[in-house]
Amino acid sequence: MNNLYLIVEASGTRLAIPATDVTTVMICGTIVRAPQTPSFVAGLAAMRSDVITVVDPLAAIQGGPANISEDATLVAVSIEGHFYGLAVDDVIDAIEVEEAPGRTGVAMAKGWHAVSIGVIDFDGETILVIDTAKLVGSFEPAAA
Amino acid sequence: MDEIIAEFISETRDMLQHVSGELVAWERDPADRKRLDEIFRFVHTVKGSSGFLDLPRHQRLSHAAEDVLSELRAGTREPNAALVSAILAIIDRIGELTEALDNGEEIDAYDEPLIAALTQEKTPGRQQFTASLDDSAGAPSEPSVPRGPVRSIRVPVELLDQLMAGVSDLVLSRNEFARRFAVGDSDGLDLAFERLSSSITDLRDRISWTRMQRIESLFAALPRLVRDISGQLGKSVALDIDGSDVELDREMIEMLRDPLTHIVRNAIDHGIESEDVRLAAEKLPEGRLSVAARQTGNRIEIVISDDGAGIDRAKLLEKAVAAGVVAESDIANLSDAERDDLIFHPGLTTAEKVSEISGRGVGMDVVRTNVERLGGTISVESLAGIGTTFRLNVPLTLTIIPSLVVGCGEEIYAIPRPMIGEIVSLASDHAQVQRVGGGELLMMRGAHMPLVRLSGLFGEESPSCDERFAVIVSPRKGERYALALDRTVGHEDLVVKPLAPVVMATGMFAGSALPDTGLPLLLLDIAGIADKAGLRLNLKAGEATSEDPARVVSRSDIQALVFDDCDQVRRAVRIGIVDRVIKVEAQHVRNRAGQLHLTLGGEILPVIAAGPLPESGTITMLRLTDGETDIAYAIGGPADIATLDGAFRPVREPGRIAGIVNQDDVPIELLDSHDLFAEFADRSAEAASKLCRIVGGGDHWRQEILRPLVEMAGYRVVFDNEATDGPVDLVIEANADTVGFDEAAAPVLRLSDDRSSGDAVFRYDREAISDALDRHARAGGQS
Repeated sequence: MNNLYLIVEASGTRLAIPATDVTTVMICGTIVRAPQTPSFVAGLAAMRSDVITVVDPLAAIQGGPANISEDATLVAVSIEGHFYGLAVDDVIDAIEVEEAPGRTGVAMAKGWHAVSIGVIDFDGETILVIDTAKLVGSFEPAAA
Repeated sequence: MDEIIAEFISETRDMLQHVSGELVAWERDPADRKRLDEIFRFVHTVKGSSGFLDLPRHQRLSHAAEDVLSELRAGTREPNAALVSAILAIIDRIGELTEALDNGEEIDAYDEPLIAALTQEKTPGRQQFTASLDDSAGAPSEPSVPRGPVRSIRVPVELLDQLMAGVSDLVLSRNEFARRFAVGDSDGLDLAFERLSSSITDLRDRISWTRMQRIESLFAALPRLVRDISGQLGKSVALDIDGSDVELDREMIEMLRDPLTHIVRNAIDHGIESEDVRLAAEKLPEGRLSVAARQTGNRIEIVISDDGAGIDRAKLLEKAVAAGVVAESDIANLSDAERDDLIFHPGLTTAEKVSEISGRGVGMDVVRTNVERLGGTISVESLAGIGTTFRLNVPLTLTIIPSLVVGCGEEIYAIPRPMIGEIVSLASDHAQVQRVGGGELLMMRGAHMPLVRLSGLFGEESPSCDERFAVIVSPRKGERYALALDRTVGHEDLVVKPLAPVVMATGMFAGSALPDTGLPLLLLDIAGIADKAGLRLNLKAGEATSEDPARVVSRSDIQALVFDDCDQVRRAVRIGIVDRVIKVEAQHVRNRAGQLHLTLGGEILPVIAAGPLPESGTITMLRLTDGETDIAYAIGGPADIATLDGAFRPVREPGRIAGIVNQDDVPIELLDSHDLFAEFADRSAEAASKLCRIVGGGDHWRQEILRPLVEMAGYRVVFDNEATDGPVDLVIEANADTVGFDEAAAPVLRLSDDRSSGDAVFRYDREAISDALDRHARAGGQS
């Protein structure tokens, strides 16, 4: 169970998210802007009776503004009691991988290194496993 | 008392659940200080509660375990396997005792061997003590990772039943809906859907009800607690409680229970001195402890203060140095506040002797942990010889905040209503925006205050916002500024939830809510926005008070609300009697007994309308109050605050209009405050004393159907020959066959089963009955 991963595609990049992190997968719906938040935060959306903070994962990793359409798919993760929706274009598959994510030794671009746990193999393709807590938590200002 | 014991049982159970994980981890590594602290806190809490609840066995066990644990913590004793087992056995026994207490059983097993085992170096194995280990709550079946306590709330069974009933209703409505849907009954679908919606609304209300509770329920236990502790210590303490009506989330109340108990217990034990010491210090022999709660903006503050000796800083420092918390060389650099803060450090206390009640210095670090878990803060102020004040500040998250929803461009935000002073139109001449040194000021009634434009603050990507209104807000007492907006959307009670840290970090939002639109709504952090906008409100605080509008306005001027009345005439009413402007659904206004009434929440207010009211849609009303009586005054359009020239021309005939005033050279009518209320005060006082005798008629009909109607018109009701304490003002003969009842000079209203019977009124002609009742009530009132 611990080795189950959700394979998603966001802005043309495939990522793996540990299934244990995922609360649910939903369609985004209307996003309400949250002014003055970091640019990768698209805004807030409603998830049943909860408010979910919508984040563009690639913008969070590489920098740049969030770019999300309202029919995007959100992978909802719960981090320290708050819900975040990682906006993806598509959820491709859920796969089970026996061995722990491997290390590559590749010199990753800035941003990627901090959020990566390792890589897994999916149909012959090497996919990066993302640490969701780091993804949304890495920009918490020190003062908070 | 049973309730408190039940609480103790479930709390202990919860804590055992939590501590069981710690126990296992500690058993593996007895040197682990953090686990030891956790277990110690548990034992300490049990000791405190059991002393208070008079559970001697619990108390003896926990006290013994606590002694040993504090030796371990102090390092005067080394843990070994036997000792660990003995402690575990005691904690298991506490679990067993607690279960037995719940089941109303007695456990015969002796506690003494368990306690004795703590002091022996070598003890028999653990199993011997814990015959019923397997079924006790304290026995973890397998090692587990330590986790936070399972958060739970207790709900009355009655409420649960109601919720279940609500769910049943929901299911029935769904079935009904499905059935009509299946047969294609499109007319019935509307009806079924309506029923479904109302079931959902009901259920939602009940659920939110389960969450909210007045802080009273937290404070209710305090008098007893104070009495018992002060009695035990031979001190006399008077308790003051204030702000019991502040509403808090149930869960929040549960979470505050322990910290509050700890602080109160400490205050009595260490803060307040014994009687002779107090007398020597020229204080009243009776100590004072005050506990107050208040809502300040989006936080709730609970202040606990005593008039005792204050924190002994010298001793606290000494201990802190001894415990290695502070280096001796750093002492000089500590401020008094920092020194006082040491009280929250684990393992520090200034108490000289350890008592049954407190004094091991665990209380305050537990308190801080718990309060911080709530997202709150705690601070302490202490003055030697004068007293100590603890301030707990917890967020209002999950509580319901009455809010004003405002629009800025296409976006909407909520502002907590308690922070709103007034709303002014920027288009009017009374409020002008002026630019000063790159900033903006709002000039109003001779006073000025900083103006903040949300659109500017929220960055250039904000849609343009045509700011026509300003909401005057005050983040803190004595401070205020104006927030420019382009529209108000409406009032809404919002259940506010915390925001994700990444949004919270903007410092401009206090929380989020999901209103009926289903879209997230951000609650503005009024104080945060002032900071972000760079306002320096506190510097202006002195100036602000002198700008108090009431002082600027000369005595002869009239502060009034100017509006277009229902009959299209422009009128004004003195601001002092306006409670607030409300928007109501037309269907909530009904004609009863010849008078318009507004049903608002649980209240019924009389309505004054100068013209016909719309049948549907919303009606704007002014809620007027004279301090005792509230009435609603229907108006036709938006209302504006204005300063009118006090030299008004009185009208010749006294009545609803007091006189004519000039506003920008347009004459407007000023309503007579006295007359507005006189009419209703008069009526309700007179009518309530009126007596109506109902004669004849079916018992059921007259009790259930006629009586409420008569009472609504302001009568007291007696039947047939019942004795009365005064003259009867009206006799109702409930059916035409009734033999004429002889009541001296009282008017008679005859009812009949028959629509066409001459002078009698048909008994279901509600309007005619109401009219008649009303007519007689007025006639009697004037006589």
